[in-house]
Amino acid sequence: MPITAHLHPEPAEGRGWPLTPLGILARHAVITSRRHAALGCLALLLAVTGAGAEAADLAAYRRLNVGLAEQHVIPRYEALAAATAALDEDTAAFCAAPGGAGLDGLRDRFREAQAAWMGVQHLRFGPVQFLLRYDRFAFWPDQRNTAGRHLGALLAGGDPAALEPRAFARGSVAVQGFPALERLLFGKDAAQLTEAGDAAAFRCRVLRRIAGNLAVMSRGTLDGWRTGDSAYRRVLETTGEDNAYYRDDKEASLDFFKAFHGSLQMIADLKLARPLGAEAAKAKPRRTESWRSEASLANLQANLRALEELYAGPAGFSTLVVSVAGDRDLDQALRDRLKAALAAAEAIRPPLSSALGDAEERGKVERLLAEVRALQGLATQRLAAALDLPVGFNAFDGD
Amino acid sequence: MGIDRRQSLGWLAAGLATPLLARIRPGRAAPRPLFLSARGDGRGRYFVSGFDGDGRPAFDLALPGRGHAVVPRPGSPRHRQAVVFARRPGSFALVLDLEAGRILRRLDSGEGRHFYGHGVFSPDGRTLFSSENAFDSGRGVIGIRDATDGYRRLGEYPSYETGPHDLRLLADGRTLVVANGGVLTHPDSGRAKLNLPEMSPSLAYLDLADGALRADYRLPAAYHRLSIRHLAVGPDDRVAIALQYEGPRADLPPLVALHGGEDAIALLAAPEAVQRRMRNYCGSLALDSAGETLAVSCPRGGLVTFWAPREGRFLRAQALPDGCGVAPAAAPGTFLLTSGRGARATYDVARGEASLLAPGFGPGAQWDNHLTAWPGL
Repeated sequence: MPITAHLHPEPAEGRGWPLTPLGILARHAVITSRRHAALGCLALLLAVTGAGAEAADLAAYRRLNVGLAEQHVIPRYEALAAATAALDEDTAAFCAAPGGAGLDGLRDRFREAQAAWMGVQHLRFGPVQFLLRYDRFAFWPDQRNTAGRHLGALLAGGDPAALEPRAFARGSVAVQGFPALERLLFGKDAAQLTEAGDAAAFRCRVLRRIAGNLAVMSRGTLDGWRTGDSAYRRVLETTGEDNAYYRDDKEASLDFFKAFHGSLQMIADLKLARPLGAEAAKAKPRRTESWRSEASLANLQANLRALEELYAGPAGFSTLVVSVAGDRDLDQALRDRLKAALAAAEAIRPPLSSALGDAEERGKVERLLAEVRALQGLATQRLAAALDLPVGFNAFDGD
Repeated sequence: MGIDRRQSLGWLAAGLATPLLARIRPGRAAPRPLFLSARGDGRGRYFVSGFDGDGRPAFDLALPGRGHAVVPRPGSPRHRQAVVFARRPGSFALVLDLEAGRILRRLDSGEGRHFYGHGVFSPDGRTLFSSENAFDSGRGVIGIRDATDGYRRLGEYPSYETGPHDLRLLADGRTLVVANGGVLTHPDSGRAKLNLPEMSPSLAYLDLADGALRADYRLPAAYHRLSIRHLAVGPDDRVAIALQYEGPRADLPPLVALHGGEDAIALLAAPEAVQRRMRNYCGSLALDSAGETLAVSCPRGGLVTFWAPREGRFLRAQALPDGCGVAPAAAPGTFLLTSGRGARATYDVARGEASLLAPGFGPGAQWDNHLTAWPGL
């Protein structure tokens, strides 16, 4: 099962097909004659099918994208880098202390770092996509208990070579992130971290490697956004035909819109509906995210606060909805709904895993789900259109 | 059930003489080819629609939800039928009378199953096969229904990998080729993808006599996130494949593939500038009437690409915002293209010329992923 990280995917050569098998892109680009490379682009088709509001100020979209990069994305990755660095340090100190004193303190560091991740979990584009980082940060949902199996094998193997940083980073994505760390710190075998002996010592080395790996990935993602000529912030400033990511600023804004909508979808479908089940008796508490650390609700709140900033923060979509679309009704509706969703999340008594089957609390969870779905509806039915973003009817995954 | 027959324009309503004859004396009228597609109306309502080569509406029927593929039933002219499947994870499929422009029957995916949106008939039109999700276990299955007995569900075969999507028959009429996309989903979690890091798409060949797996083919490990979604079968059972990449945007994996015989799957790439604009996502594909030109649409990139499969060569691309539906037009080397923004156009690949059909089906028409050419019977 190809669950290991292909950090440097090398396209394999095509084999056996008699009709010019071509595996490697660059090579093919040479083989294909230039005269066929032109894109037909009929004015007639574009005139009829093109977006209506071409007159809209494209500069406003670039300001939105760059503003969000500087005031939303980068500060949040800075917070993640700081929190994972602190977690890394405390893990080292914890493992260095005989008997492993300070497990509770380490668990607090973990919760802080996990909350910082939840503050950027909606951002699925840019450097977090490189090197499979997004999946390595948090392999979830984990339908087949892959993290449990792979972590078990890693611990049972006791092989220090598997913890060598490069080997570890290239290994199973399922043991590299927050869910794996959570198992070690909060799982049923967590007490073993404080025991003496070789097995416990190796367990602590795994802990250290995961924490160290998270810190490295966080730093790498942050640097990828802000450092050097190829920084993703620069990518957003230089959209155009030569830009490998975005042909225009709206296409880049679409990635932020997808972050907004995709996060709502993840909250509704995966974090709420999936564990809720059809009725209380069919609730699946262990399908909640981070149930071991009882952070499911804190996660949701961190997600929603990030979305509120993405929409209503100083650099958020709101400005564009008002200035470009002139739709104050929609702006107010989104602001109100975001507040209502946060309030609904705060009204639930933690932990979420217990609330699902609780006569009183379950209704509140359903209420939260309804609020999130209402936000989703506003995003797809009104926000995309108001901002004239090219969300295609046929661009949905997997159809 | 929400099927609104008043939505049917019917051929009479369209004021066309030839279909009127066909109505009175089926079997004597000249075949009247139609193009079939699901669509939205921009206001959250969904339809399945038919129109002729000039774009004139033949029928327009409301659906209980968003549709996906429309699959004509071959065989006897007595059965001018097609089945439209719900888009995943829908549970309905409707049997259409293509001549009368009405809905004959509603099928249900049944307990513990939902449709993935595609199906195929046996060559005699007696049996319908459809890609389905046995969602509690996450197994992909091929549902089997008897079209001669009210589309009664006879049983199912495994698809031999997660997430079967498109499926086609080879020329022998008994080998089914299945695009197993590899992406695990569950209706409880909507359209969310539950297993991207673990996906392992396959191209599976099944023997319809007993459902046995004859062979299956996978992509190189580095491409395990390239989802095998849609298929077209050409002369000599060559299978053309349209792919969707679930990995990072910066990667530019090949998105079109060919397979035949016992060779490995061959991946084709366009020149880099085009490849980039394909946005790692192909929505639909079709071979032309001669089986020698391949159209592959890229709705996210707003592009339709054209290929010469025999030489494994990229030919050209045509910009079409949210363009997805592709079907062979009558003349070799020509296609009909549709878009989510309501465009319908014929396209001549050799000339690189498109001509729009007159608008139809209202101002907000959104043509759905797949366009099917029905030759008429």
